[in-house]
Amino acid sequence: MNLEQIKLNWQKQLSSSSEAVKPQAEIDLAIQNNMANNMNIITNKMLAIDKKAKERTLYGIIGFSIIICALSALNYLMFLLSQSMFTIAGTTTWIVWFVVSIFRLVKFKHKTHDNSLCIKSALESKLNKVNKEIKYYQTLVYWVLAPMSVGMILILIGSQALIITFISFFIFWVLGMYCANKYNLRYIDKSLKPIKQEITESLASLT
Amino acid sequence: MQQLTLAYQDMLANNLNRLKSIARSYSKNEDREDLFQEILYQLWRGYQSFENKSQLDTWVYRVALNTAISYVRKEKTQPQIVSGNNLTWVEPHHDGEFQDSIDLLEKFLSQLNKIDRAIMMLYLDDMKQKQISEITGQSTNVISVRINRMKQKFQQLHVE
Repeated sequence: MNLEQIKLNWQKQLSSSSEAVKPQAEIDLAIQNNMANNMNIITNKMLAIDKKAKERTLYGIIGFSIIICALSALNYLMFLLSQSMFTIAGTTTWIVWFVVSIFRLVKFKHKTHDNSLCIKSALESKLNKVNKEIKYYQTLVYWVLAPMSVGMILILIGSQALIITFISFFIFWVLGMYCANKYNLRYIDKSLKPIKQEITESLASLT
Repeated sequence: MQQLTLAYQDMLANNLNRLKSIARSYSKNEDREDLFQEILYQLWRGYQSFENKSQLDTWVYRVALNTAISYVRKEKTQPQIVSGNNLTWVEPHHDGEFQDSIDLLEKFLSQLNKIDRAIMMLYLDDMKQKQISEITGQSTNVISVRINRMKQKFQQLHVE
């Protein structure tokens, strides 16, 4: 077959009208629908996804805020019970950590990827973003979990809690931190590294 | 919002088959709907800030190809973003030699790497080399060389 003829067929296929998108529950009805109806379905779907994505972000922020507020209130109570050097140091660490982590989270959240760049720039920008994400999740343990733990431990020591309470809380805390870190590393391996590999391969084939 | 929605629908109606062919070329059967939906969503997000700095066709191709090239299959355990009212993929089908030629091209496209596939699809859609260069970010010379190589490869593989 001649490539030019095939090319024409390809273009005919692209320009022919389509009934390819319709809702699962209304397959029979959709056959009778025109393009405008299909477009409405797609738009509604996009609006729903948009809404869902915004809701997820909101729930994430609310959940994170509740946890932080609860832990801060607990720390404040312990600080009130015993204002020793340890509790002051612990509370200071906690406040500094809180400000720094909120600042970094907001800064990180603001970096969005632009899909309308040319393929080469988009791939480079996306690779840059994925690398930053990987670094972000890999170092989370140092700039979030470690200072948070140090602050908590100092406050616990300063509050002169019973040794059994201290050990139980400490074990529970370490386990929680370990699981959080493990979850982050799993996310890197399962989600971010495959994306990085795809982008690297595509960039290599561009040059 | 109403105006934006109508403009988006209009843009989509003019490009639906292009988007479908991109989703078909860059995914396996079970992932087509996911990728197609992802492309439509990225277009929806981008269209709200589209400023007519480039031609609409070029912009659509950029967003769709960028989404498809860096698309990685999601884990099956991951829940859908929005459940229910799924977009169902219906394969367009033509009879005889016409369909054979499309199948042949799709088979050829699947053998190319993701970047060459994008360039070939743009060439097949009769895009000018300057436009292809704008979409891919490569010089027109490089595009020309790559297209010629792919044409030769196609001739070697499929010309009777």
